[in-house]
Amino acid sequence: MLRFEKTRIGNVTSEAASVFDVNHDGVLDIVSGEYWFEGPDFRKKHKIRPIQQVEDYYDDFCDYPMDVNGDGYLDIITGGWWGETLRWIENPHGQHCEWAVHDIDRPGSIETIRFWDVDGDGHVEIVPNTPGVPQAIYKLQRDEQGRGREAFDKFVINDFPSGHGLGFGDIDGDGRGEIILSTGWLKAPEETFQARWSWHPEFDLGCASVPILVHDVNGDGLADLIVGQAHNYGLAWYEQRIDSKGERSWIKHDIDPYRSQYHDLQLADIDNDGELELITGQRYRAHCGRDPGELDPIGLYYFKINKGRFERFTVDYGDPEVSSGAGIYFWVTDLDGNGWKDIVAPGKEGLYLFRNLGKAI
Amino acid sequence: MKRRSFLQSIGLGAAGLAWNGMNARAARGSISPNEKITVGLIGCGGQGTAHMTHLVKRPDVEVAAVCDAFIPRYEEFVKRTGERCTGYQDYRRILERKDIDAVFIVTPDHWHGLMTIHACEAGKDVYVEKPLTTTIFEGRKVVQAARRYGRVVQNGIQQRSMEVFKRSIDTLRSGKLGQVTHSGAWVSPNVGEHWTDVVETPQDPPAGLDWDLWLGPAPWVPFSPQRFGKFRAFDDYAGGEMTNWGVHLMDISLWGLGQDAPLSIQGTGVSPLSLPGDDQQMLQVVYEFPGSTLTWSQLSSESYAGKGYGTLFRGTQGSLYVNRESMVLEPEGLAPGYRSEGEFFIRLEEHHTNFFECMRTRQLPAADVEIGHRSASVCLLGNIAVDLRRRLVWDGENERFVGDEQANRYLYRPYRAPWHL
Amino acid sequence: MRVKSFLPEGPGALIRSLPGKSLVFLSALWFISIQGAQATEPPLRNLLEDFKGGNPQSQALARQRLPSLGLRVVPDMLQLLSGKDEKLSKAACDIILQLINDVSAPGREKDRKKLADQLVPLIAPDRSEKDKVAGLRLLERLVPPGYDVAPIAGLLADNNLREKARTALQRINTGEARNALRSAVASADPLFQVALLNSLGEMKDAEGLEIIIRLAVVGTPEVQAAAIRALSWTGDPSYLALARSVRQNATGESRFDSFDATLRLLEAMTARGGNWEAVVREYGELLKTSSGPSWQAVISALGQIGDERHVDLILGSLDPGDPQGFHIGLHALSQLRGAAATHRMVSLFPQAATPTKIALLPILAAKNDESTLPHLVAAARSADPAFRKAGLEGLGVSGQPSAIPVLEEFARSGNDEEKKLALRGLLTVGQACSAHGVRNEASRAMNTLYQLAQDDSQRREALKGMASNPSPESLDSILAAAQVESLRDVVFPALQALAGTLVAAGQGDKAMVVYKKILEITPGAQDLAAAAAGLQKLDPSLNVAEMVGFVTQWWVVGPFPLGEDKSGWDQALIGEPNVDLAATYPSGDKQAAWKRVQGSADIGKVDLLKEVADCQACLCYAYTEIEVSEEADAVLCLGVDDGEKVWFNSSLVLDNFTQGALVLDRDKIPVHLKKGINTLLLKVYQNAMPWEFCVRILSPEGVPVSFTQKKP
Repeated sequence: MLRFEKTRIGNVTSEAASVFDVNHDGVLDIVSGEYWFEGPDFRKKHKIRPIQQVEDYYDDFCDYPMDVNGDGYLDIITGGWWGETLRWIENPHGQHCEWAVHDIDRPGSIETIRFWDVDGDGHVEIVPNTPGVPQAIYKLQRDEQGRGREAFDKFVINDFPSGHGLGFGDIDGDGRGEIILSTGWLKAPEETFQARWSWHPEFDLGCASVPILVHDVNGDGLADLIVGQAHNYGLAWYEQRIDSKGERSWIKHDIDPYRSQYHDLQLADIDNDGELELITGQRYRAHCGRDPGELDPIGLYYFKINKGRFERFTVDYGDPEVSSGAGIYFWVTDLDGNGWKDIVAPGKEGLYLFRNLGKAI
Repeated sequence: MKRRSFLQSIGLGAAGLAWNGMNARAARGSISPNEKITVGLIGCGGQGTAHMTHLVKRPDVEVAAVCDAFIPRYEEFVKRTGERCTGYQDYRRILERKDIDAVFIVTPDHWHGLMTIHACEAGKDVYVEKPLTTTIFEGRKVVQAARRYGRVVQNGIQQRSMEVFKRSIDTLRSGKLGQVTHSGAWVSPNVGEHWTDVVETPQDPPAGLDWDLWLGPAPWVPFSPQRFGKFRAFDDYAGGEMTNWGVHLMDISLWGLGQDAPLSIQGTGVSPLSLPGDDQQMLQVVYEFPGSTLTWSQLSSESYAGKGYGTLFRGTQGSLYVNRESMVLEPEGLAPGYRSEGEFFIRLEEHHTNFFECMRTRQLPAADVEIGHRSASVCLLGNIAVDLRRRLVWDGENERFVGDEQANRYLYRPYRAPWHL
Repeated sequence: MRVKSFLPEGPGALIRSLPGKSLVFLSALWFISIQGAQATEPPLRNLLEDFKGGNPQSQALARQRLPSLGLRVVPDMLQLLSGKDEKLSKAACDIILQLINDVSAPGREKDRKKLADQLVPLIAPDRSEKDKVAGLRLLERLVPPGYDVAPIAGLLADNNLREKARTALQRINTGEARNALRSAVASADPLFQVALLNSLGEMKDAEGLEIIIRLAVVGTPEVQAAAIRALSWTGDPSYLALARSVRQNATGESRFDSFDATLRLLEAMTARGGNWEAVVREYGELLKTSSGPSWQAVISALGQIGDERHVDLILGSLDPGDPQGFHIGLHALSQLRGAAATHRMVSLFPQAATPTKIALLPILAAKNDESTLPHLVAAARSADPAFRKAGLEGLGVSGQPSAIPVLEEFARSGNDEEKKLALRGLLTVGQACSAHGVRNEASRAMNTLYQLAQDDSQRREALKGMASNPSPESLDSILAAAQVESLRDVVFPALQALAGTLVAAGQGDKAMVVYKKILEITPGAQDLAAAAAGLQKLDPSLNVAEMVGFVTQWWVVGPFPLGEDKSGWDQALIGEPNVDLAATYPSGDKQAAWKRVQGSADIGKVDLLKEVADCQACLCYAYTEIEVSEEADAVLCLGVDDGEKVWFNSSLVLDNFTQGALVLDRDKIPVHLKKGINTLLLKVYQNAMPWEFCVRILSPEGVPVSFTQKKP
């Protein structure tokens, strides 16, 4: 059983977070919404920029670090629902002033953003989930040394509204990754961004999590999907089967049908056993009181996966006044260098750091 | 009206009425044994008498055991019930009995906290008299113990269950007084009872008194009839009038103001020079709350504009004065007043009922232990402020003084071994 | 000014350094100041005398004033403290105590140390026990951080005083004090070890943890339990194993203490967070070896922090034969929140014993979860009356829309008790649905409640519910309710809401029925205006105002100044009560003529700011003719902003010079209509802001009078 040390970080209630060395002092910092917190004890906070608030949301559903202007300092890629705008926030090189905000594009309402190396060139692309409009992928232009050039290319890979849910992984086992949406998957053409992607509407995952995880759950060589219901009850995995005729089908298996708002899912080896665990939790008040299960206790969990069986371990659970869920974009990384991956869990209930102290009991 | 004289007037003095509960016995037949609550009463003094008088009338309750560290006292109680209950000297024997569901703790103040904790640990629900404890540190430990053992603990601030006070709170909440910015609570101590400045005459304890047990967690001192007879006069066992009437009256203030901890406290105490050798403290304490203040006065005369004790609320549109007898508003027509029906000075019935009901539903009772702790804390803070004679800033959430480290020593007094919190 | 400040350093030095003339001046000052000081501050000597043996009054005053003189009173007080006179000894101790309280203030560190130095001799080895006890009692509040506590620590070896020394050091709680307590632990006898451990635990001594852990391993069982208790505040899960082994070693008394210590550790772990799995697993372990109060404590804890995994555990251990435990277990189940826990309870329900099932039904109902419905419905339909009652009550509490059909069934055809429960349930479900915005179901429940209600109070609640959740289905009920006098006040909001809903649903014709019903039963003026407006909007072709008896055709003339002395009000500015519609009148520097205006279509309101002038402190006149076919008694009902005079058929019938907003029917004037044409002349006063009026004519019974007016 893992031991965690729980700390509440500041008073922030944004729903996304990330961990990176903001000011180049060799120590990892925590970034969430309007503030970043200086490591290693995260007491000192610095304002990044003011962010529009709507009800108890912030217009910020992603705080991903990326050096956009090639100056060696990591900037932040962000976007939100009401601003409808994909932005990058320029790191002021460790100075204590507000960061400059640059718009990249205005694709439409952004539910959240994920980052995958879609074209296999060694750098991640920016893939926002925009339920109301077609799927776009943004690629940072880089120079020969790979440094960012402050400009982006945009590729739209389908021509219908994407719906709620987004994932990336190799579904068909051909070594290249596909984009998964809630009602099917998109396959890239030979030249990744040169043509429309082919659409395979093989399932309906509901109001799906971002990301939808692609992972061979039962070890049969076929990639399965792990999906949470972002705004309703349910966490399930969809088993990929291919019959003798080569027809693909997806069989749903419940993991946790009675907890709701599983918005963000991540795979990581949290207990150093060489296997990946599913780490996830509830996004507290995902629709500010309008989703089923919003009055339930919230929690942060990891599931050990064993031949198709998911065993839940609870990191935190209880009343939102004192407990932590997972927000819309949580972060897993070894923050303190003790060899065990820690979890930074943002959310409307508060920003919490769970320092992984390894197995002790 | 002075409480002692009232007690005498309704014949609850030493040669009191019998508690063979003839009426109650008849009515008891209608309650099934499974539904009846079995109670032990600890502390056979004046207030214990008041509780017994109420409890023996209830068909849903059976007082099976009584206890006092002084044997003659519990023997008296057993006799009055017609030998219907068993007497004990050591309260732990009651706690050991599996048939006892709840205990009433009516001992001197210094035992309230620890006995409540022990009762909770023994799986009993508790009705503990006010003040909950004699120090703030203790009070928090009592709350923790109650929660740890999942027990229902009712504090004896019975005004929370009295109709006249419930109505006054409703009136305050209705907004008719406008914004309530001040509450005042006051009492005139039982003048003539010299509670402090007592000269002790140490001697052997009387036969039948377990003095060590009586002292319990309080510091060891030799027995003196002064300590035993007037525990309220001694710091080791009680907090003066502040924790006697103050807790009742200021509990209503807190309830009415909707607050549970002050931001700051200042106080002054003087002795009236006219009373020879009387170190009776005339206290004035001012508490600061968000947007309001509370003042506590201990006065040397019985009347305060004709009202000897009570709680007053002043709002931007009027004021409300309430005591156990009545609720009165100014201007008169602001809202209907109220006059208590029936017995009001020592009215325990509804508070008892509330306790017994919550034992079944496991809901928090009207004067739940946390409320009792907060109200006692306000009184204890007042006493500390008077002692320290300087403005104290209080952190209600962490229950510590701010910027005054030495003052934090006044929040607790370690228990005498083997007792511990 | 203190005398002290003019001693050695004072005038002598000044005198030496200053020119001669000032000497006299300075001496005078000095003399005056001494006198002044004497007047405000009796010297220590006098106060001491009073304190020791003056009359009671001066004694009391001395006691009040001595502490203000500060630490210089201490030597005298110490003398009295150790003296033979008990009363004085106690009083002196109180004075010192007050000084201790005073020097405890921030910024008085030096005085604290000084006073401590003065008091420490009380506990010197050669002093009496009485002095030592008094000294400890004083020092425990005083000793500041950084002060050497060795004199007190030395007393830890004194069998008579070690207890008082321990509690004193605990109260002092400085680094030195903690050190002293820590140092004493290892060599103490087991009984005292327990006491010392209690101190360290209450002080939350982190530096002592090593010693404490050691004792948890090598101490006697009692010491081991005390050690776990002393480290429980850390909430450190690495101590769980230690706590477990201490529990295993426990004997007799220490069994409970070790269990209690573990509970405290788990409590602290829960508060810290991050170790939920470890905590619940340990509670599960404790449950295996617990019974009675211990079992109850663990069950309570699991109820507060557990999840669906603990339902089996708690439910499985419920024993109706143990009432206390039963209630506690049920309460724990009611506290387990979340759909997962509810579903587990629902799936385990069938296996439970009957008394448990009956007790569980209200708990399931309170979860407000649809999955509980099948059990509630089955219970409500059971042959067993106890089940039926619990089921019906539960259905009501559940707040679930799907409970409504079953409740309706019982409300219609159950026995008396069932009907009562079902009606109460319909109200609760209706309110719950309303609160959750499930409007149609709320409306349905309220509608049924109205139809089957057994008394007016239920009908009133139903109508309130229908007003919040209007639905076309409730048309009949609400119209029926409109006929009932006693329900009027709650019917009107319902009628209003219903009309709005019908309009929105495109059922305008039904909406008109509702509006007309509103107007027909002559509600209060507010409702009337709103209803009229609603109806007018619905069908602009209607002239609602006329339907409801408002006068709409007017001639107006003005403005005329009020005048400083209100002279305009008193004077006949147009020759009233006679009216000449062709005449003009001086108005400022203009001539004002009669102008034809129409009142608003809903309530015949005339906006004089628009029709006459935007002025303040002024007047105008309004004139109209009303023709009726038969003579009749009537009531003129006026709403005016601000005030008016009224002539009816040339007689002055009202003089109301007042200020205020327009309130329908503010002024009611009984009149007698003659057959044919009746004249009505108003003189309308304007103070400021709105200037408007409306008039309607009702029969004495309140029914609009039918009249005609010449249209332009």
